[in-house]
Amino acid sequence: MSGSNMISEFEMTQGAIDAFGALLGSRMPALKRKPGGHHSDVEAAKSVGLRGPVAYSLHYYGHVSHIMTKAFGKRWLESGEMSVAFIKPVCAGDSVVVKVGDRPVQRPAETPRADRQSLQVDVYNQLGELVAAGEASVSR
Amino acid sequence: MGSNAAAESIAQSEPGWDQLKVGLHVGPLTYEVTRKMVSEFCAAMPFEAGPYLDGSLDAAGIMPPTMLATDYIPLLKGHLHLGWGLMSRHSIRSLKPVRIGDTVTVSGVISDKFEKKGRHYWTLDYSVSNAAGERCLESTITCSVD
Repeated sequence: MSGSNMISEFEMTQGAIDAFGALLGSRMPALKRKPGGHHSDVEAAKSVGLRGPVAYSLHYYGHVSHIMTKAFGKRWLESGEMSVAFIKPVCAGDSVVVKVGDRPVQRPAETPRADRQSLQVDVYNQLGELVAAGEASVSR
Repeated sequence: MGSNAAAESIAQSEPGWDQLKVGLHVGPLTYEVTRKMVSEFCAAMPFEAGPYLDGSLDAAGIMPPTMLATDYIPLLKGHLHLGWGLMSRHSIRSLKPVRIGDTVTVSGVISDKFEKKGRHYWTLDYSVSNAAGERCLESTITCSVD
């Protein structure tokens, strides 16, 4: 499990936001997203205090699971757990860096589970601001 | 009335946070997980689809565990106007891989609602089970509606 394998970086373009937003409608046509809203409309996003169209939190959240899948394979699929708090919005035009295990677990459980291997999860934007953080773990 | 205003009008006809009841059961949704779904999900993320489709983890191919995390949206449709609120926290437990070709059932329950710093939050516990009735994924999501 090398450091470089535990990082995922990508550009959160409006196209990326739109692509993720279209997934649910692709699976369930009745839920195809209508244009506008704070995920795609600049004015709508700014009207609710956002810098711009906001990314879906589950978009970059999914990269944590992908990192864990590559690192742990079936152990992740059969015993994986993760919990992430979303701290700051990610908006169109931001860059996202997802890091797993880059620093010690910041909020360890009062009673650490000896049967699990826990890793810190951190998501940063291009300013180095922490936008989401949490923990991912697998059974030992 | 413009299309956005019309959409907003329809959405506002859904129950609001005040009407939301803790203990409300939502779902079930039932559908087949397809290779196309997995390919499209990986392309949108974007990350390589190889681990999920190349048979290395299961001969049939497997679904990325968070692919159905957005199912809280159809689960809550008609039960809660989601508004423009932001996600506060998401947790997931992966118990069994979901294989491509599996038929899954997604269902959930509103487990909490609360106010914090002037915002109104809800929490949904939802799960994905396969056709054998085996629970594959358990998720908990907390979002604000404002």
